[in-house]
Amino acid sequence: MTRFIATTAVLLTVSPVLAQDAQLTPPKLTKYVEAVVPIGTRSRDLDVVVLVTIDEKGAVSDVTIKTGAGEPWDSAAIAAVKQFGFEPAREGEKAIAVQVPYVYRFFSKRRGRFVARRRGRRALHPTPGYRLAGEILEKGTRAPLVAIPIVITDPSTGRKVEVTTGPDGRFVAYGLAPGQLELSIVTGEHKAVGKAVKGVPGDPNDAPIEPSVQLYLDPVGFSQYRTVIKDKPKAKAATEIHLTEEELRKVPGTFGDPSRVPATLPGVARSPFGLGYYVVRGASFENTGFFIDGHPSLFLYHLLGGPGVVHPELIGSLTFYPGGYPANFGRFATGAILLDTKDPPDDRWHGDVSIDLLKASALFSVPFDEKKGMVTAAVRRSYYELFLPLVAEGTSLSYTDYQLRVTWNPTPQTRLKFLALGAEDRVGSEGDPEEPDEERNSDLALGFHRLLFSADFDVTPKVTLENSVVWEYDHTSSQQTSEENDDIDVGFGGYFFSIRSGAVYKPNKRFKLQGGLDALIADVDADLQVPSFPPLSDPRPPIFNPIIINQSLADQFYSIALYAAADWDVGGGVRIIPGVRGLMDHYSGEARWNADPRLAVRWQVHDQWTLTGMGAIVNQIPPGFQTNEEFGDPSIDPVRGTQGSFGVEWEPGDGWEIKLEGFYNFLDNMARPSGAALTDDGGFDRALWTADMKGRAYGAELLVRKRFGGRVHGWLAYTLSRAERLRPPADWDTYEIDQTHILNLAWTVQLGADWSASARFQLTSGNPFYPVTGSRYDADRDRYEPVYAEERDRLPFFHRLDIRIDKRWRFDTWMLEAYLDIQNVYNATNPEVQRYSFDYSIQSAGLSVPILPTLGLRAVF
Amino acid sequence: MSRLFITLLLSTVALGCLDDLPPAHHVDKLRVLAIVSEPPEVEAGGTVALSALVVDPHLEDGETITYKWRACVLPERLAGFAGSQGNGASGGSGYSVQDPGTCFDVPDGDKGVEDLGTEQTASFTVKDDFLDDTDAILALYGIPPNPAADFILKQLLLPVAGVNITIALEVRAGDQVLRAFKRVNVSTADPKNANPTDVLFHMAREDAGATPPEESKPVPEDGECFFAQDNIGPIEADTTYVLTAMNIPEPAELYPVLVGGPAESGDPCTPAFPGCQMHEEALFYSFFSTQAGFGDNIIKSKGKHKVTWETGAGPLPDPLDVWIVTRDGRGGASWCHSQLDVKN
Repeated sequence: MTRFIATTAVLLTVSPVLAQDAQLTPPKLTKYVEAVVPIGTRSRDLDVVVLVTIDEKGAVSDVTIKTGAGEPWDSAAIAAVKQFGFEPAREGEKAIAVQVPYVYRFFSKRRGRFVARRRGRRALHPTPGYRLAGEILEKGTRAPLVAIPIVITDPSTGRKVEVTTGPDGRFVAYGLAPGQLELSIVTGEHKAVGKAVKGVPGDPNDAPIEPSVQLYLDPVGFSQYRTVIKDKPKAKAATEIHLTEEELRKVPGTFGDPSRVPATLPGVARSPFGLGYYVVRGASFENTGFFIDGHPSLFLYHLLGGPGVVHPELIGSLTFYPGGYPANFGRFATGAILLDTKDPPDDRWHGDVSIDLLKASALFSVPFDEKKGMVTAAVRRSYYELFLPLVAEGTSLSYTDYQLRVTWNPTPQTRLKFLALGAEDRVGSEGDPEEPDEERNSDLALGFHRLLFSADFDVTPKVTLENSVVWEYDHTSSQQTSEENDDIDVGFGGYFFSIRSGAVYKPNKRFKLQGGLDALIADVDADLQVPSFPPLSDPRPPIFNPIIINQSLADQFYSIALYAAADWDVGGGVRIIPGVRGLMDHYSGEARWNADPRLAVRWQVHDQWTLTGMGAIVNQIPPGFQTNEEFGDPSIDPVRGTQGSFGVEWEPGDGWEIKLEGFYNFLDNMARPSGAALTDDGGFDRALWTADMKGRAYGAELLVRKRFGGRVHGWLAYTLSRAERLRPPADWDTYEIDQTHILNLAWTVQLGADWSASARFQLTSGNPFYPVTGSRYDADRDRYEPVYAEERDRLPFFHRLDIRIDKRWRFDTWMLEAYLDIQNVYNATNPEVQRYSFDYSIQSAGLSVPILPTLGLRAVF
Repeated sequence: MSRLFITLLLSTVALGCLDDLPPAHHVDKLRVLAIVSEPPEVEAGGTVALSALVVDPHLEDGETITYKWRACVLPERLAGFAGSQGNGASGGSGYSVQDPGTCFDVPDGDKGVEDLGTEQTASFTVKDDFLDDTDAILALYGIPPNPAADFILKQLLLPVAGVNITIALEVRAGDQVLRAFKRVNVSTADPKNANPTDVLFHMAREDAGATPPEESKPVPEDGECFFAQDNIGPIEADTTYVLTAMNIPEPAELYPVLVGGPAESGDPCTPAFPGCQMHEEALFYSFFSTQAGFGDNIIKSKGKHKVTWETGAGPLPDPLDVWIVTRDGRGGASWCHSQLDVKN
């Protein structure tokens, strides 16, 4: 055997995408092995591009050819790379498995030897002569490019000096000849660069010098997507869908708003007009909780189905649990959506400005304390008010949101975070365009302001303390004035504290135990000047004619939960994830004690196959307006959700995963409007709510997903389900938002040259309804009352295609991005409701969202 | 970009679509426009006279409208909070209540119905013991038995709210069939509600800027709707008229209602029970015509109490009928009818 020397190797060129994520640290090569080819093989200059899978220990678990050079080079490269050693990649502090491309470069014998990334080489072999310092950055992002091979050639002698960039993207070459030299960079994943340079006198023993050369490498092909998180964070439940920021940003039909992506996932019914209510596994929308950095969030969107209240650039990941979510979260009877914020890249300051037809946003971030800390500020403002009067005279609408995020890790064991975010929305109308002299105004304003502080400490390598507290102020006010009616004025204001304090104990890789406190304290005041019930026995008036009653109320409640959860790898591929929450919900002057047990089992029966199962009981405290003494029924108990699922997961490789899961969800103590007459207090009153409703849903969910990375990513989600409600004295009946078939296809293709195309196709069953078969004329109300068929029908199937085209232009120090998002490309007619004439004799097509193109621009600095 | 834009678009689309449907005020087929009970409220044993405003502008010579009256003597189920009578015109939800008791689907001879004849008018006499079965009435209200219930029933529920009996009317003209209903309230209230009277309208061309007199004016004895001195001449196409309600009672009548909620200080309900409030009566004017163009189908006596009428492109029907039905929101109603000359 002849040992051919792999004279250099293009080490891990870290994905800019990965590098931008401050939570991710790329793997580092610690052991290099030279490739060996058979005796007699002619030496050549060539590259073999392989995909290297590196596990959590840093060992190479798999190597496959991405772009081969033929035999025997391919086999030699694979054999060598399999013997490499790495420091594992990390997400935060946690080691994770990744798959990265690696260019194994073979040089002909005539080249000098070069061993890449040999630490201390400079000090060991000081070379006198001239030197050259430079910095290699990625074009557009200015992200430092690590381990980039630099070749500096003396044109007069042909002598070459080769170096690679360090973690900061910088290099220093020594022993150069005086005069003009040629610098060249060929990585295979960037456009080749050649530049005339000159060194300066000096050697490694001299003081360091600042870079005199700064080059920006332009990624080519799909190299910007070359690092893949091979392993998602270990699932914390039987069913968990974890989406990274790259997957969240380009789903068509969401306008790049990550908080809307769950609508495309399995188990989630389509909400009318895309308003974004998450009806998960047949539950009501309020039975699925939304958490920002682990704390419940009341506001998810801006008014009227506007965008999410968190700037998309601050969203690091989104995790969706359609049921059986981890025991350290609670108070929602079915599902949970966890949104985690993130820092922008910490290499330097960054800016992000974007505009579209209706809003503008800006984000700025800067690191401090030698990158141990980061300050990020973002603000968004709509400008509907500029054009809305052109469409609807007298109408105004605006929204604003802001975020300020400060993170600081003063020591490797200490992680501190402060997050302030809030939003203020307002919509109003003045006057009646048809009657300019008539006074008729309405105004609705709402907002929230939240402060979060968290402190996590690694007490020992095995014990971490996690503490966080949120204070949030929320307010809503609505006024409606007119000459015809008494004023309506509704004002709510209040705050809540959410406190989480827990410990995670991980004695070894197979066992994790966590427990802690999760407390919620709320105080709400309301002043209401609102329409009463219709008077007993009187017909409703022909047109709105409210009887106004005045009411003030104050409501306080607190909920304290102690939780414990374990994650135990018992061997044989079986993981048991038990958990329990002990709850004390105190409202309406009474404490309710409950326990929420959960058990999830994941059994990896084969390298690629995993069976999952889950059972859970979750209690959800009813909202204050249902239990308040003045307006509700204090005796209403928490909604109780009982869930179970069984599924199978198949991960055939290359980022593909297929999940099939059956589920059952039962909801008890659900409140519904009542109106029942009461005579309890020596007078007359109405019961507003009765908690006698039950719900159930069962079905199967299928997810076919290609994780982010490579040329394509996306998912196909299909749900077959049945959701029902029991409203005594009636029997079980179909839930109003029951959709038998729910299919979502969200797919993105990287076209190269920084172009990408995405498509989303929806196909769902129409909502059930009872057709109108006739009508009766109510002579007291001058109104026809419909007569419904005894058998229900369904609206037609809903089908819609959305597409999105993204283009990025890279300049040396910034990027310009543009997107075109077209909803309902083929202008499908999807009536959301049936429409009838005044006497129900004529039925017409209902309302439908038409084709809707949108253009947006974004500049990233 | 947001869903708001979609919402706005939908609003626009919705408005456009709604224009495609015929307005309720345009009478172009057999219609029941009103049913009047005189008086609208009675005590047990009382008698009401029933009449209906039924029109069909396309009724052929020789065709007649037939009437069939019925009383649903089992009381109608009462209105609930979520609108047990309030099915939205959009349909779709399908989860509202049953047919509110026109009782035409009840077999003949059922003891729950009483046939009232097939004449243009009818009368109905409430049984003397209609309010005697307190247990049945409490069950009707959905009030569970409790020690105070009987007292509350007699002192509050029956004097203020009473019990509704549904009067059903089925009319036929050719192959057209319509069913309508109204409530007759049986209570121990004193005084009881009465039907609106002295309803009168002032009509003027919008460009003339004419304003109605502020003082009350006598109502024409021939049942005409308009102030005799309007003198606007024949109705013309492509012209906007303004109809203004006159003789609005000032101050408005107050009457007790049961709406629930706490007792307020100074509550004039007698006796002052929690949940009882005095409510100011409003009148609701519904407009009907053989020529479309009213800006609103219904207006009320509070606020602007006027409506515009754009007659649109000609030719106009000749003669042109206008009906205005006045309701008081608690069962009382009356109507007027004017046949207007047109200039085509």
